[in-house]
Amino acid sequence: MTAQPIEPGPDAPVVRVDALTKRFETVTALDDLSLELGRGIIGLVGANGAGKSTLIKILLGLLPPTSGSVAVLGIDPVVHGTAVRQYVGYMPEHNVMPPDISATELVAHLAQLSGLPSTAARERTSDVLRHVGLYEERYRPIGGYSTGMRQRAQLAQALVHDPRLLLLDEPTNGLDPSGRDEMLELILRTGQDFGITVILASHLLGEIEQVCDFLVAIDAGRLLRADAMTEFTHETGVLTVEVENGRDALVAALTSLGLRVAAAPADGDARALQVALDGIDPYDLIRDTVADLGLPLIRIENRRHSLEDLFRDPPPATGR
Amino acid sequence: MTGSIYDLGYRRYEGPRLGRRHAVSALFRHSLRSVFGIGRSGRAKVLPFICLGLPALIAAILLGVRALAGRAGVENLQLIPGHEGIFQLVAVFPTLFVAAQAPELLGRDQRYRTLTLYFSRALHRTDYAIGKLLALTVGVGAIILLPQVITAAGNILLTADFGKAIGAEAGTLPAIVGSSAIIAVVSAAVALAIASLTPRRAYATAAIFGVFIIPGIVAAVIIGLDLGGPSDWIILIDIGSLLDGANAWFFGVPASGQAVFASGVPTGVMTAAAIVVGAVASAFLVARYQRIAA
Repeated sequence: MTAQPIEPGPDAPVVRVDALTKRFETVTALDDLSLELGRGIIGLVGANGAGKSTLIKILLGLLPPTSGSVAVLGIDPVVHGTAVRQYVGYMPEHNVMPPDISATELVAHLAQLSGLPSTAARERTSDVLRHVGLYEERYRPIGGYSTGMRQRAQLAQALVHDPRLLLLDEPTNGLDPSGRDEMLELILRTGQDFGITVILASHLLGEIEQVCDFLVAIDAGRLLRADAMTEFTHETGVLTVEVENGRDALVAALTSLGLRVAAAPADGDARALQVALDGIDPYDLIRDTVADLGLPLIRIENRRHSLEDLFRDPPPATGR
Repeated sequence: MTGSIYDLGYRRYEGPRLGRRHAVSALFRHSLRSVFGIGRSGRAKVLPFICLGLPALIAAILLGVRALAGRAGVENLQLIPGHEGIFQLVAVFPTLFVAAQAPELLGRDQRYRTLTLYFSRALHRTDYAIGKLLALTVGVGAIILLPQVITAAGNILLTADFGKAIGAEAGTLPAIVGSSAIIAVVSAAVALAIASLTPRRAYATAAIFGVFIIPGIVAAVIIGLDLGGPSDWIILIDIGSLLDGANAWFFGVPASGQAVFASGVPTGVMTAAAIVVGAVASAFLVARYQRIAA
């Protein structure tokens, strides 16, 4: 209980970890992880056991790192865990809501435990339950909620104290497609309209791609890559050309015209070939060549990366 | 979906964040309310309020008896228990109360894994254990102090000499506060230490009853055999007897329980033993919450 309240640094990065390592008795959960995150909706991806939950627990000050340093909003959670947690919201992966009390009672109580005075706690509880779409049901026991409603109540308890940073661990776990869409929509609103930085841990790349603007990929406790979402899904510099038949003739013709052509595309389609762009503009040339050969053209497409590529191919940056 | 009209704009919270001290006090207040079933269903209030009401009723009845006996000219009014004898008369109620409410206080958060939500807030694991311990201690304290307060009020009102009665009551105040504090802390700490071991309410309640009652029976039987020598010290395993002994020590009277009296173990020793039991149970509770999964 410090005399001087510890508050977030106004210009501090939301999260900064430096050479962070966490070893448990038999496993290394985080291995020399360094990272600086600004504001936004940040996806934290990695297979199960990659270290996502361990990182979240360290950011909350619930686990001490084995070595390395960590700062959340400019505060060290290892030393000032309770101060950090006043400004951070956490939605755990599993259902942790007691069924026998109402969302209002639980959320208002938890708001006070996050440091809010009781009047403010009550006001914000009813605000936040309205935001997650539980206003009508707020006095009903949580046990009577659907999975989607319960999950939204669990989001509400993480938002009630107006955190600067919201940590979500697999928030769509167990939801049906419509519940999943509602949850993702809420996360998007939280990040964009409420201006709260969100770290969304998930192994579902489609969801991450849908809502996040920044991506941190970790694998076996090590940083795979951290970059803006657009950098992961940028155009690849490769044109995919697909013809109904006569691919080999087209390959030969384009090669003789001086283009770099590969007949074995990554997606394994026997009708497609790939042309390197190499800073030239071959669209007209390809179109004319296809027309000259009289081939039925299906598409000419500038191929984009998808997040799956990140885990499918060894990333060039790390040289693994 | 239900939330189609929910977009009324998000309001930031710019007010104070009161930190750990406020969080612990909020946890304490919330727990104290739930110890008495306040904010819960009517059924949840039945047992705590029986435990609160019956000791008070017993004290009131004793006062009535004393008043009637006094008017009828009965000489030996001292035979009617006063402050020093109340605990032994109502001792079953604190035990009943902690056996029912300690599992309620801890079990729900473990059972539904709600602890995760507590520990991700502005308090430490130790704070959680201490907040719960304080809440149950105050609950037990209310149960055993209420009959003392009624007795004191009656003693003052039923006498002709107000000044002298107030002086006498003030004299017993340290004994009342001291004995009640030990009884409350020990009952609450032991019950919570046991309850922290299982999320299953029924098991916890049974275990608490077992720990509060069985050693007393064993000790009474062994002391009843009158083997002499150190065997009488077996009384120290019985929490109820320790509390009876501590109560007697504070009031400077012989212990009222038969087994305690028969054992001949000094009440000072029993008081010390009660303090040790309370400290060990509290430490165990705090240590348990360092490790409990959340």
